[in-house]
Amino acid sequence: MSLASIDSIEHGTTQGFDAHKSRGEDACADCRRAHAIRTTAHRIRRGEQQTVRVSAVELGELLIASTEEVCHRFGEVFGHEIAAACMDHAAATAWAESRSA
Amino acid sequence: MTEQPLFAPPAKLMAAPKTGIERARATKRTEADMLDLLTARYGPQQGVLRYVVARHVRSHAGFDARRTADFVALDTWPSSGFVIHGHEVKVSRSDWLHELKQPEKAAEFMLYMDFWWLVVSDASIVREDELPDGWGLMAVRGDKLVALCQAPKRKPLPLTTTRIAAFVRAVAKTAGAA
Repeated sequence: MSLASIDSIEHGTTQGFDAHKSRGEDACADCRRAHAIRTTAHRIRRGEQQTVRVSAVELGELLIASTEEVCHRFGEVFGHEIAAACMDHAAATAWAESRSA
Repeated sequence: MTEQPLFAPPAKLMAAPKTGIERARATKRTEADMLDLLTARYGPQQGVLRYVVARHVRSHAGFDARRTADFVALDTWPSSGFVIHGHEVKVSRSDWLHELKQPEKAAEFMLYMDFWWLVVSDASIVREDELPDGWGLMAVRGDKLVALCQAPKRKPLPLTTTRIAAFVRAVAKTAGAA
């Protein structure tokens, strides 16, 4: 195997994951993540997976950036207190990070 | 036939202020705006009223009232222990610096509150290490009011009759104005 072919792997992609595997090597973290995303998406589309896990901070940031209508809808489905808690946690995390930077 | 542009920006964007100062003025929130955001934060959710809220709560019911709390919210859920949240609203840094020089203003209410919050229109109003012990911090991000620093639970004194009367009167006035 030439050095050039190793370098040609496009990391962080599903093609990169496949390339790692075809070479019989462990995939790098970025490629594993891309593979996991593809696998999860396939499972969801086939109806084999009904839920996804998201980080409270990431969800909170999304809610902060979204419209009031989206936040309200999220709150009706999952609970307004959870929506508020996610936003508070995301804001507090960002604030703490900005202070330590 | 006139040629139509492929994308016409909304009128409000076309009229948007151009300089930083103009933008700051256009987005500057007033104390009333902040009280509206607090009302929304503590307002009914899915038709369930959890908090009873009041704006501009006087320290006492009579002429001996010395101070005013900007916003007070009483949690009516027994499971929460009927905690009371007090809020001091600041919309400018100079206003906040003035508050820091007069700690007795907040102390008038803090003794009776389970949680005491500083509520600012912009997080930059409060600089590092300026938040006094025992205070929480809320700020506006985007168009939402969020807690940047959770207020610690305090051990409040029980409300005196004159303070209860002042609070109830403020609740009635707030509800009447809504």
